[in-house]
Amino acid sequence: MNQEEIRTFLSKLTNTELTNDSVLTLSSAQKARLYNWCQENHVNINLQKINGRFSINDLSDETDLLKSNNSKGLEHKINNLSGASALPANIGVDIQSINELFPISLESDLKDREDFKSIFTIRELSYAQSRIDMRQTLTGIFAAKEAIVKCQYGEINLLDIEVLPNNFGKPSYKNFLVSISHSGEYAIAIAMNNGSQNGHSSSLQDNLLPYFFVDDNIAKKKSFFSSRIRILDLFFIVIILVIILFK
Amino acid sequence: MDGISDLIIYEGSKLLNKYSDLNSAYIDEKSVAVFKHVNFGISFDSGNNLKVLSLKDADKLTLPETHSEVSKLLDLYESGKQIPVDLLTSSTVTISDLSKTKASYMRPLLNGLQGLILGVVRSKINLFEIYATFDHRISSGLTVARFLEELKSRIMSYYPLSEEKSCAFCRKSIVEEVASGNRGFIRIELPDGEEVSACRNCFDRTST
Repeated sequence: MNQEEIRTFLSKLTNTELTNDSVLTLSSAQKARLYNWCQENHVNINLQKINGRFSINDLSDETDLLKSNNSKGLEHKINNLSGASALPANIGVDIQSINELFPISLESDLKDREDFKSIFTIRELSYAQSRIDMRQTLTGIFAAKEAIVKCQYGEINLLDIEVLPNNFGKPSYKNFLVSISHSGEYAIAIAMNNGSQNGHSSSLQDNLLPYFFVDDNIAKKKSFFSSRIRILDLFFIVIILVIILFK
Repeated sequence: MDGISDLIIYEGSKLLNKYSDLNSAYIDEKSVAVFKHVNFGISFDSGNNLKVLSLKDADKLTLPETHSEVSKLLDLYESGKQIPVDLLTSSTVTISDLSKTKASYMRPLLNGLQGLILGVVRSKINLFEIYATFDHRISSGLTVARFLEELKSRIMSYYPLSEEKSCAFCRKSIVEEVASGNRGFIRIELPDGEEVSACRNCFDRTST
């Protein structure tokens, strides 16, 4: 694989005509797709260099090659690619540009394209295909996956994260609270770890909590109940202090 | 649960680009015509007026477009207006959907110069079956089996996983049912002996 082929791929990816000297910066989605393309074509490039501004010439630094063909699909150190912190957080956010992620319209059979199959599950693709704007939906799902990655420990395969609407139409994934929003050509997603790291739902009630306790009566009752507990706590503390003082 | 014709047409059209043998016609012993486009013929029959109308370039359409175009064809058929000849003659593959009837099996017959016809029946309330008749002079049984296998998995991907309990009639999930104030689903036995879960609304209906 030579520089020319890398240049051609990057030109398609960024939808601009690049030269080997062109300086570019890739979004996390583009990095993921570049990484995937490299794996499919057994291309070794210096992945460390694609994290900032780089030119195609920089990628052919033979002294610092990473062997990309040692792993399959997107089972890579996603933290390095996505820019996520090495330390796990309980909250993650990601923003993606639709035109960056999908520079061309999606007319072909997505379920038969390796680059899509390595990022999105068949159910995610089906959900996106049933929507009016497939590119927008897939961009939102990708942003959500990246946001979830930022909440997790260790290396994660994007295919292991399946973001789909729950029964209320809200995006969901196991024990994460996920929210996606679109504006113009951007999609933003935020994810928050809502429990154990293994991410398995524990009960129906747990699943209902995030959506029912936001602004309904139960939430008000719960908040009222909590405030009463705080008032009672304060009351007991005052009594104890009074007893101590009188002693 | 509505029919699945639009999903079959949408996913089937995409797959026919991969299984091009099935989107072709036998001409003679020496030649087979492989169609460049996937024009899905959809059979409509109001009782005594069977017509197969072509959904042109079905493989280029999105799912919402497919749904909308099929509706337009149905409107045209039901309007009684004269149907353009090219809509009646240009299909390269056909689907015949009997899932609204009580038929539980069908063996569709190949239509004109085509290599595949799909038949759909609904054997149970939430179980569809797809039958295919193909031209063995063009394609093999193994190819058709793989096509159907892939088609099935693609169609299944539009529906919730089986462990996610949902109403057999309207697909409402048990979470939604509980959220709307009910205690859960009701298990009911259908006239054919099948047992299904139903939400309160669907249980109260007199028919499906």
